[in-house]
Amino acid sequence: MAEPLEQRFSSALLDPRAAIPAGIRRADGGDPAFAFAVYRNNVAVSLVETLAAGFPAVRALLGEARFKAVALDFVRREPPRSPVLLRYGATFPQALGAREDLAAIPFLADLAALEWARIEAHHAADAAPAAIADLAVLGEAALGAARLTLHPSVRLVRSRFPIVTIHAIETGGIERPRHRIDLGTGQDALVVRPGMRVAVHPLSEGLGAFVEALVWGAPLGDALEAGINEDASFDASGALQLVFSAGAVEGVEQGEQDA
Amino acid sequence: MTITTRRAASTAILAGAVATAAAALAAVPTPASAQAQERCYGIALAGANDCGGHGNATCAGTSTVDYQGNAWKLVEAGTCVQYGSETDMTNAFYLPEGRMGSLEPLERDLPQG
Repeated sequence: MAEPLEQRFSSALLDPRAAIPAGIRRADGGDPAFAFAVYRNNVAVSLVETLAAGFPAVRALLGEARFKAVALDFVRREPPRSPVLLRYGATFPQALGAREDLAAIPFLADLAALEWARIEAHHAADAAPAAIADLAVLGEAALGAARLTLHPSVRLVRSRFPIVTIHAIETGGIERPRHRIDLGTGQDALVVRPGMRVAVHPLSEGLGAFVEALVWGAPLGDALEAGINEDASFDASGALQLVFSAGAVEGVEQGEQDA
Repeated sequence: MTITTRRAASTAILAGAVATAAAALAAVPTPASAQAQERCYGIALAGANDCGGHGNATCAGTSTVDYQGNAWKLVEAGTCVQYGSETDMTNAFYLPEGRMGSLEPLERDLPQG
């Protein structure tokens, strides 16, 4: 049996060499091939533009022409699964990482993951951040078991490359340095939108492990240990100051205390 | 170290850390109040409006008309009404043809159709 028209229509839409699906005609009796070509072009262009708007640092790194070609290839391989355009691009970072012709830019996938985290944070639900006073009121013995519920916009991107610095350079947030930056220094990024603006906080070693433990819902005592395990000079007070002042904590939950 | 003594150690570290962090943060304003902003309607160029993530119809970058009346941009709190007050075209508060910024959605400059 032949494929249904919808199926043939959508696959012809993404393949520029495909003939227009049989059964398509124009209401005004004109040439359907021309109209279909216009529609096909609009679909591809609008999706490429969506990626271009969402991944400005990747675009700046690759240059307009190369970005367009890479994005178009992605659009054809992985068309949207949701009608909501703002969810399009979640798998773009992985797709970039899988491309052998872009292997010379080893941090590209992580940089794209940071840009996607910013998009997700941008569209996440609003919530009022908690203050550290909410934690300070707990008794000393209850602190280790307490859990910090994170703000709905919180995303953590861990990388062995300095992605926060690269992102800031490529998007004009900081001036392009005269010298090559040290690609060997990894940076983890805490992305959060406590108010209306998305903020990206670079995390030093130890802090990344601490925040990751919080993301997984670990009690504060375990998160502290995770931080110390990764960096023996882990600064617990600094870590708490960062997550609270960044607005990354939405609430404090009292955990089960040891008997 | 046994689990119990390790717990005791981390409890002590935590208690100190929370106290220090609370003291340090008490001295600085919270991020929300430090940079209060307001939604200002009718001032964004096409495609340059903001989005708050709540159920508002227009979302970031979706306005199609310059100074679209139902699209907003975040500005520093208290400055929205200044938009349109300047006649010097190079001033940041200049808006063409007598338009003014508004804290409420406007009926002007809506997309056709």
